[in-house]
Amino acid sequence: MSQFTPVITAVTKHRGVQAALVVAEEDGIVVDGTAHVGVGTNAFAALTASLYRKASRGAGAAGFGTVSYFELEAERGRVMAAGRNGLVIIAVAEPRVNVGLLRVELVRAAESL
Amino acid sequence: MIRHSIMVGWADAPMKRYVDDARIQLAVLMHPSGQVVAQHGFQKKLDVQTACALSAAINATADGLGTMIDHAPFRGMHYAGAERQLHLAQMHVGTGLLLLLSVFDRESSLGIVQLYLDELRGSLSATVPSEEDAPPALAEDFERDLNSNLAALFGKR
Amino acid sequence: MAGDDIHAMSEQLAADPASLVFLPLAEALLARGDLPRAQRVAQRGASRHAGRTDAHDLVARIALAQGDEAQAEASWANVLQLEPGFGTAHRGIGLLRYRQGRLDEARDHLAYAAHQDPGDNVVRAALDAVQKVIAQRDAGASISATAAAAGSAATADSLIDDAVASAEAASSVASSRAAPAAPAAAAGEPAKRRSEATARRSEPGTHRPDPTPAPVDLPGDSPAHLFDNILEDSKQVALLIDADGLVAAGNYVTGDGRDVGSELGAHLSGVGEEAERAMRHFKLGLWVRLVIETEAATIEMAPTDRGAVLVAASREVPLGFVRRTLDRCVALARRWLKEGT
Repeated sequence: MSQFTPVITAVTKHRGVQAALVVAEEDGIVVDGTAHVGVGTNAFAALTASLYRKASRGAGAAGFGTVSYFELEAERGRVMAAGRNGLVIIAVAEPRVNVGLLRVELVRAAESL
Repeated sequence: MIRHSIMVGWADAPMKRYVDDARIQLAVLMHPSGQVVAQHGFQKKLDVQTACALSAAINATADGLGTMIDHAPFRGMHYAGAERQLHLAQMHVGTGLLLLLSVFDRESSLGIVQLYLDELRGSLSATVPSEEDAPPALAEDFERDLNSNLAALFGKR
Repeated sequence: MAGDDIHAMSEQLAADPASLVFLPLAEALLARGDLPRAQRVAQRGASRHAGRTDAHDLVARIALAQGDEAQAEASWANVLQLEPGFGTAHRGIGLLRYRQGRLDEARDHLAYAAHQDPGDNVVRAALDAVQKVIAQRDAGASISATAAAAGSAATADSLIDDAVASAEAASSVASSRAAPAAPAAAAGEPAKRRSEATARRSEPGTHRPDPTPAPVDLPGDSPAHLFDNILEDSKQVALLIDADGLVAAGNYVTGDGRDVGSELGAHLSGVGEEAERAMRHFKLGLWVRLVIETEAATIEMAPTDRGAVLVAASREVPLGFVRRTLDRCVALARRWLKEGT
């Protein structure tokens, strides 16, 4: 059990979520998380954090302010992330996931980071 | 053990892929003695040699400190500076050990470096040449395997 | 090749590891189906003779036979770095691109290979099949078109499988002739965009068809105003960005008259490149959309064949509306790009 267990649990209870990770934004290292067997958490953590950072820099340079939510949709699933205070909570989800609900959950979870 | 006088360039392609994928600024692959195997991004040969010498010393120091403190050598090192970060990793390649020094900035991260290090280990293991003094120059076990299996296949000993 | 020959060549290679006999030896082992040994011989030879295109080509063909498409692609990329016009490499990469769903790239590579060797009937048949699938894709996204494309895709699949099987023993390309520019194929270059991802998402079971065909959006009267008819006064901006991060169409002018489109495009095109890199590890297929929510705006991006479309909207615009705007802009951009305006 860690201080992040409640937010991770809240995210993973959504149908279609294959992994929920709390990741350090700068390092891309997993702080805490849970995943289905076979999900490469290190890759999702490092690369999603990198994407989040890049999006933050790009949006900031373009004058849009800080990033609160990021989503990468692919043919066979999606990766969703919300960040605050140098931490990012990431969900890896199947296509069938309720995107709207999960997005709300992640944004809410990020507020507690 | 990977011999020092190995064929030049065997690690270049894997290193290039690693540097490109992980967005590394400077990288040097070396023997624990400090001898260069491959490098990327350095502007002067002296800088490469200096980096190798220092990295080899750090590795030897970490080895000794770890054994003293933790009864096991420390493996690798990560330093996060204000603008750039440094990562020193041990790479078991084939039957030998190499060191990899990577320097990166905000375009990369420790997690990214560790992710692509795993890929690099695999690539290096696939391309590492055999020891030069093993007669014949193909890896001894490979040659023995090939000949004995071919001999078995065609009924000759 | 007789076993005696293989034995003799292996002894010759053992005596002289720098010998080029590794090439016929590995070919012989490949022909016999002894793939692990063929690969070991070929890879050691290729690492010793890193400047030889035939060595890397051999590694690629053996890797393909082993089902290791990543290694095959990497080795053919090495070939093309040494010799951009090497036809067998274009043939192999064309087949791989088809399997990856990157139809336009598959067509380009196969067309080049066909030009290099007009007598290669397998390449010609594969190219014809790919072109048919592309034609079906471009004919529209209606269910009937998709169903017809599925039939063509199945035919293409079987032709491609046959081509892959024959690629295992493909001989070196014929001597080069004057040829059109060879498509670049280095692994890691930004992927060309894939409208087939959209077509696949329209397959039954993954998408609920809209019985009412959407009206076709008309382009604006200039590249800078391409998306104006879609955007109207909706507090949104749209840009078409090319593979280099340059704005190809659309504009973003702030209230005080500053044109910030170039800056926005440049910054955010890097995010698309990062997404490409990430997808190689995520194993979720091709990326189709990217969403960034900030304090001031919602930004959505979707890939096109050679870049991306970006829509930025004020936070007060509903998220679903931004998504719909992006879909319409992407459809318009794809039509406009084909027109070559």
